[in-house]
Amino acid sequence: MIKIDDLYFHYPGQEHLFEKLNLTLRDGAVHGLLGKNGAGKTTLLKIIAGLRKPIKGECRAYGYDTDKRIPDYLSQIYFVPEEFRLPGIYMKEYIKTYGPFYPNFDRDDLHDYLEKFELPDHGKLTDFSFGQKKKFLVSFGLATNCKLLILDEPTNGLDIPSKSKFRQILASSINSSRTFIVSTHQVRDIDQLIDPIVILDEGKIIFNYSLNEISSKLNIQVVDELPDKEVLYSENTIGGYSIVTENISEEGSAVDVETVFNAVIENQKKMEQIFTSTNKKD
Amino acid sequence: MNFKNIISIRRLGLHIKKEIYTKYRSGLIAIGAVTGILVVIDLLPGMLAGKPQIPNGAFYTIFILLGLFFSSRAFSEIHDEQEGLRYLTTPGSELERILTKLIVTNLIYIILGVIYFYLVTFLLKGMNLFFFDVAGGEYSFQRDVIKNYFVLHSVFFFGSVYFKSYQTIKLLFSGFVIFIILTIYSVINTRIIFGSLHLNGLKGGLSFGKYPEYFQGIYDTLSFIFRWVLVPYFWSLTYLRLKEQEV
Repeated sequence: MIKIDDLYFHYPGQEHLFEKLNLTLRDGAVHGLLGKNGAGKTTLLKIIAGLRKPIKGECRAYGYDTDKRIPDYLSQIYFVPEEFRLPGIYMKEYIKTYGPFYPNFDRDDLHDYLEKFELPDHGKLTDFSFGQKKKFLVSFGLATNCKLLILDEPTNGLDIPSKSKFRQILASSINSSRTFIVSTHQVRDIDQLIDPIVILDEGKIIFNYSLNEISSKLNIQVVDELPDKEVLYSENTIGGYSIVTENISEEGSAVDVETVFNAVIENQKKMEQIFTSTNKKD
Repeated sequence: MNFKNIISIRRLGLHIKKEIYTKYRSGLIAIGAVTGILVVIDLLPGMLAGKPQIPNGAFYTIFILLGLFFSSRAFSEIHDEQEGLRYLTTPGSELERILTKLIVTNLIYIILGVIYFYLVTFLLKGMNLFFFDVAGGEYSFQRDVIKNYFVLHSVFFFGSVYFKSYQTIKLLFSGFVIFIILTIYSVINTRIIFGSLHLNGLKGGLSFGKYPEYFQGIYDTLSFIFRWVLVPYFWSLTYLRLKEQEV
């Protein structure tokens, strides 16, 4: 489990990015970390990976203080950043050099993933395109079989077939012992995978609920005309409006992650009321 | 804390292997360039005056300058966000990371440097005999060069973790400024303590008249500091700086 308690963080000479940030991420889930530009998603991922140190408060994962960068902890996590530079070595050299650092690294798994991504299993890494490099890193990260895989904008730079492959590969590697944190702006690429949805805004976690909870408390539908009852969020779509209303029925509705995100950002207080009051009822 | 989280020989070996795999190409390019320079310096006097000379002085200068350049770039990845992320998330303790860089830029560099010295001397002697029928000198590697490199390395090693860019230039500049400050400080002290300072010109150096023991004491102290204090001091600073490094 990853637990962040009363965490404060700011970059040198800048205002606080996080003030009293609290977050708990359970094991065995694909956490979708969403937020506007500059909300601090990448910084939060870096804090979890031990690359940034909190000013105050703590971030603990699997019993370790992440900022201490303890080798046992580092061998259980893998971070695929949005932008990266790979060393000018051959793929085989990279695998031979970096693979042994991870106790559960599986070469056969890696070859499977590379095959699924239709990547060659040889060649110089710097000769690959950005998308190929990203697919290689994602494959390598998955093959480490780490407890925690952090993916920052994993579908950026991937072509349409690769995004679909990425979804398939990620879905096939989900199990109860692995946790994924996926930060993305392109929610439609992975909206079938992420659960729960975590939304970060202005340095605070304003939403952290599972799809089940969301579907039982919100109703997301497309209508021809805006209804009279209270609409939490609406947007024009082809042939009508996509609207979010409070779900007062017993039945759950399908969840559209992007619409939920927009609804939460636009109507934060009301959302908080709906989710907290229902929680109390539960 | 688990001792293996402080140091693990297996992981240290993996880090050294990684370091060599990712950096050996630039090492090979440097060896090629240095060999070319040494061959030219050796053959030039032979072609001009028929007396080839194995360039020992040049070799030592290049050995130290190249080593210090590599040392000042030892931690270059931590100053780059993209490379730093991979470097700092690769499992390993700070002690292992620092030992890896020390072993590669110091121990392995010195061993390879000495082996290279004898190989290149052998090559140059062969060339000299072939072209000019003279060997051009008999040489053995001077241990003082290693001792001095060892100490200077620690300063540049710290600089590599401390300065974000242009580490070599900044270190040389800082060294120059520190040297000037120390010189001014010494001159002022000497004037205060002895009333005067006899400068016998730049060639003659300093003459301290009837206080040779006092200055011998200062010299011995400074020698001791240079040989035994600077190295652990800068290594410790490097370790602490690396520990707090963020990307």
